[in-house]
Amino acid sequence: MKSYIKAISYYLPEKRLDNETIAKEFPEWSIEKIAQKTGIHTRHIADKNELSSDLGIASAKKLFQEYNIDPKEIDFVLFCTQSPDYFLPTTACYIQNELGIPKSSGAFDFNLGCSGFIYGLSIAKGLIETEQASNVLLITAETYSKFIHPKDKSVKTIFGDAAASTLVSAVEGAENKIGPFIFGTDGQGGKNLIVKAGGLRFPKTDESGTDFTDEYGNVRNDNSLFMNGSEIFNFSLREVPPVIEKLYTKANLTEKDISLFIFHQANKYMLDFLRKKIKISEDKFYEYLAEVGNTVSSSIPIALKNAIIEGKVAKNDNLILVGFGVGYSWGGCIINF
Amino acid sequence: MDINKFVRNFEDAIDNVDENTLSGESKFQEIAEWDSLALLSTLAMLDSEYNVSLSGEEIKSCSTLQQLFDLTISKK
Repeated sequence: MKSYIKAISYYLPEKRLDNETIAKEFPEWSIEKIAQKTGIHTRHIADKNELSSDLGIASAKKLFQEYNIDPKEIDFVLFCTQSPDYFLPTTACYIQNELGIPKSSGAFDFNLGCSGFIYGLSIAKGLIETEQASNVLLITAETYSKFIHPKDKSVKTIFGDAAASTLVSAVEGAENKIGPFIFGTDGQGGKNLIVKAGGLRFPKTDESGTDFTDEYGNVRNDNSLFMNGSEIFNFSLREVPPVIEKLYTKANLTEKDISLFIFHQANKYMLDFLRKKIKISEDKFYEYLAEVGNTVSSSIPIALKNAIIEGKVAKNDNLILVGFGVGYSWGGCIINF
Repeated sequence: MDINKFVRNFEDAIDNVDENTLSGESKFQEIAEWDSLALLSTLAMLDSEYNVSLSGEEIKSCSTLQQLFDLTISKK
């Protein structure tokens, strides 16, 4: 038994935050320069009462409708988020009920950011190819906007909220459609992309909610998202290129066997730099972030869906997907369409 | 590797800095164009031109471009 990506749909919240709005909030600052570097013009922002579970459910409903899939066919729900509804219960259980997925299905959450989609594919493949499940609904959903301090332009300009639903299904045959995989973890980098307070180690207090201003004029507090951009940049430059090399070796392929590369859509500047460093030709390197921003774990499925819509993916094409970020955590895989 | 080439590379990397406006003595963090993006551009330049990785803190610990150059050479 083998597994393959059968369907992808995604959902973006209605509310948008465009560069013009950000420019009005920070009149002393050149948004044009930032837009040029990040390649981002608009991000979608979840409403006050709209949670990652809501976005995830909306993306799954779109998937069911778009591909005429009956929720009764799903026998496993994987929910990837870092903005869950509760400490407990598990958001995936809530989602199972809301979507009318059978009680006989498995469901759990996993907490990863930009590497989450790769991990989700890996788990889904494992469940299917060991015949523990046949139709795995992998939902990636994130609302970093709820962690972002309104006066912290360093992250406000980058991140957008979104959810994607990917159906990974069983298929008879011997041909590998998902994998091989390469993973990596370096917990030393945890401090460089973090929401420090609000968990059990640092509960929210008056102190954690006290604003401070960094050397670049960004205001935040310990309840809000912090990103050390230069360290994240260095980490990506260090760890991403070897993933590509290892994938080539593991799959016994070379660059010319790969028709499209889709990386986590961090920001345009970093993507272009990585592309040049790894020496991937521009026509094989897909970017999709101008209208959505960096959507964390949904950035790869959203880009993949748009690459398919634009006709950039043909049957039997080999694609390389790479996710990297918060943790530090990273992972890459080859998929065959 | 010489300091003049290093200064030209730095001028190249930072947006809106004209060629031949800086020298080894320039306090690069005090120029008007220096910001968090300029820091990223400097990291990128060091990686692509010198194959050297410095942390943001290491870069910020340097005052002049000459000091940054010396630190870069020491990491080669």
